[in-house]
Amino acid sequence: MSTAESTVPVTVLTGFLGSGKTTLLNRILSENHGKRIAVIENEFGEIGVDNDLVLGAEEEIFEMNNGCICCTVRGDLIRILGNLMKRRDKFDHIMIETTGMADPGPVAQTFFMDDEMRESLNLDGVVTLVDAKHVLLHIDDSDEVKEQIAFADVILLNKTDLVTPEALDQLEARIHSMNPAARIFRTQNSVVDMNNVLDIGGFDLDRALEVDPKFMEPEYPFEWSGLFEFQPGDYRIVLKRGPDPAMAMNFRFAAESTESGMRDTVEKAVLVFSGDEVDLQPGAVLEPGEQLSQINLEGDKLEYVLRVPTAGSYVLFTEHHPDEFEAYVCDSDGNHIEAMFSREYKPDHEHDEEVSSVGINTPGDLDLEKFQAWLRELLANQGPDIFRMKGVLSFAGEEERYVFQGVHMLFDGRSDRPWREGERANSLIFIGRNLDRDVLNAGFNACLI
Amino acid sequence: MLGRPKRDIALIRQVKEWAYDCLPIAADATVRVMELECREPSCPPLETVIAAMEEGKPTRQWKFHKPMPEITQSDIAERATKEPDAGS
Repeated sequence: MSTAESTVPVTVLTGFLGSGKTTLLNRILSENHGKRIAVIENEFGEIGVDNDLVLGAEEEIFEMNNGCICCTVRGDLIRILGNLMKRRDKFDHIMIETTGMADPGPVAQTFFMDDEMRESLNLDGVVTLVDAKHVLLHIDDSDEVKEQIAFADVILLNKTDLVTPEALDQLEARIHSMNPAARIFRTQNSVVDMNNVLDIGGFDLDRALEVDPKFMEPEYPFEWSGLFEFQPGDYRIVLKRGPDPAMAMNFRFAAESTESGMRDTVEKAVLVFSGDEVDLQPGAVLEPGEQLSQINLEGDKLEYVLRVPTAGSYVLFTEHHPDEFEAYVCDSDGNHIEAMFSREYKPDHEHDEEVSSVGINTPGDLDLEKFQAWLRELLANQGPDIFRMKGVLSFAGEEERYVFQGVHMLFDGRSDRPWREGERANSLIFIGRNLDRDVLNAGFNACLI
Repeated sequence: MLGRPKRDIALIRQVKEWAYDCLPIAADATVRVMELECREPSCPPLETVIAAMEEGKPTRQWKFHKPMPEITQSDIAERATKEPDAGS
């Protein structure tokens, strides 16, 4: 990207009809934040503020297709922005509003594709508005909603006054699992601090990491584990009905009663969770080992037996968090036993098989040629499914960090600052459809020297 | 290094000027010059595309099977009398 100082930042605003885009635009234009904003709206006249920097656009998709690369750009925007830039001294920031059903891809690609545009403009970020009350009606069926969420740097969960706190929590968790790199704000009437919408540096990977340092962590098939010290005998896990009719569990030995003792069992547990489950009914016995038990959680007296053969340390892995079922462990007298150590894991989201994200976070240096070849192949085959990607890469023989980002088949990057002592590592994220975590990881790792 | 090479804007502007001069493009039309990479065996590795966008009309494209620095004014002038490659 061209250096920020000499280019005009552009924000792309997306969201369904009724999500509050017009309200937000009106606020941005009338609030006193010291920035002069030019707006390109998809339906001229919607915005109430009188302003000669408000322009209308008619979406014109222009497909660049030479058989190898298929890239769609907004022809009308290229034209309008070209004209707007003749009045460059009159504004500090440009906002482009896309139509409700729009795929933000073509707009973002327009900025990647066009060299002349990149000389004078930089894409600051994609801001997506979501109507918290109505989005659940669309989120499962609508590709457009998923794309708008997947492309976003900032998501405004709007109309929160119309939704219960529990529903909001669930919605936010769902959206976060689709796009963990986006910052989510809860808003009413599109009221939001302008600093969260303008100059957000949406393509700055460091900022994304600030939001949720865990987003680069690998995802696990379980949400909780607890380490217990048991004597020989029968213990019980007691649960209440919760959000799921059944849940997978693994009960196993640990080498010692320490945090690292529990950590050492995680890898094996991941393997167990990828295997076949054995269905168990209340009252059934779990013995420590490699069995993945699917415990039934319908009915009233939900108790399962943990049969302990010898005194020692044991770890229980649960697919969902025990709190969701008010679960606890007790001995044969009914005394509650607390886990000595417990840990929560970033859940492997079950809902969006379609849109998901894959984060890769590994040390090591990349072989430039191998990586280029791998990335080219990946984008050629899966370009349309990869909405966005961004990363910081460590190349063998390079003293500087390499920062890159991409939209579909287009990517761009540059050398950033020199690596600091002990900092060298690769962090990248792919947000898209039908992403195979294992294949992506394997392919990437094969590029390390 | 990875990624798109820093483009010579002066070169883009020169090709654009030739396009306005030689091709049937209105003076107020927006013209874009882009270089595309191709990995298929039958294609040359780099192609240059000149696209003309005029309000109310479909976008027209002229494709050249060579990288941008190799385009000459006569390459473009030659195409003036022929149909564009695409009138999407």
